[in-house]
Amino acid sequence: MRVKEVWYVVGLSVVSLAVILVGLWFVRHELRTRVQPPPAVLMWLAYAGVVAVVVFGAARTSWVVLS
Amino acid sequence: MTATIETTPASPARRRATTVLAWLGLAGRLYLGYTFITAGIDKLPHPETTRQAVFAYQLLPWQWLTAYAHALPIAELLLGILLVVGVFTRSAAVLLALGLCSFIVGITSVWLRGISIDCGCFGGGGASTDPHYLEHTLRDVGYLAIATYLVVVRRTALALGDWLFGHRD
Repeated sequence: MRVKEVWYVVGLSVVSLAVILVGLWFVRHELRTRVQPPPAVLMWLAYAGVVAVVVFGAARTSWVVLS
Repeated sequence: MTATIETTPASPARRRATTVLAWLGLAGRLYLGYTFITAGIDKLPHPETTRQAVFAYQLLPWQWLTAYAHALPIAELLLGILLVVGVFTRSAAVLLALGLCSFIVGITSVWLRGISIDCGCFGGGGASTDPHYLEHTLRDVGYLAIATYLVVVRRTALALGDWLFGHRD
């Protein structure tokens, strides 16, 4: 395992976490500030889908890069 | 007790700024939409080539490749059309942003692993002696910036969605 790959995975993890946190802020902001927001359950389900894709993508890529 | 919402009329400068942002949004919608429609049309008739291109990244489990190769061009085409006509613009932009993130991760990971391939973004793909990883990564980051703008700006000009569903906010 080389240092370059490890740093790539660290960077990918940080960016993925940032995407998840920004998404969380975005959903809360939309529900709070929109005049007619979509149903909250729909927004949170969509957010859960995004989180699942991001976590899977980061985990799979990290595994491939490090193996 | 009934709640009342007091609204302050927007100043002319603010209205002008909103209009400029909305027209910029239209430009972004058309550019990104056209780009993804083109990418989808280029890949749609050649699922086997797309499958080979995705296989070259050595990222996805092989069992998923055929389904991914069929779904990707359809998704690109549909999301591109939604952007061009301006229906569900922000949802389409979020999905495109996610897709672009995955493309950026795919390209940078093959770059890191020293695999020489063509990205296959607009058809083709597979092994290549002359990969353009930096160029393709920067291009996708640019597309990602446009998609993010479309999510943030909320309203774009000449959006069919406004006429169909009424502008909400």
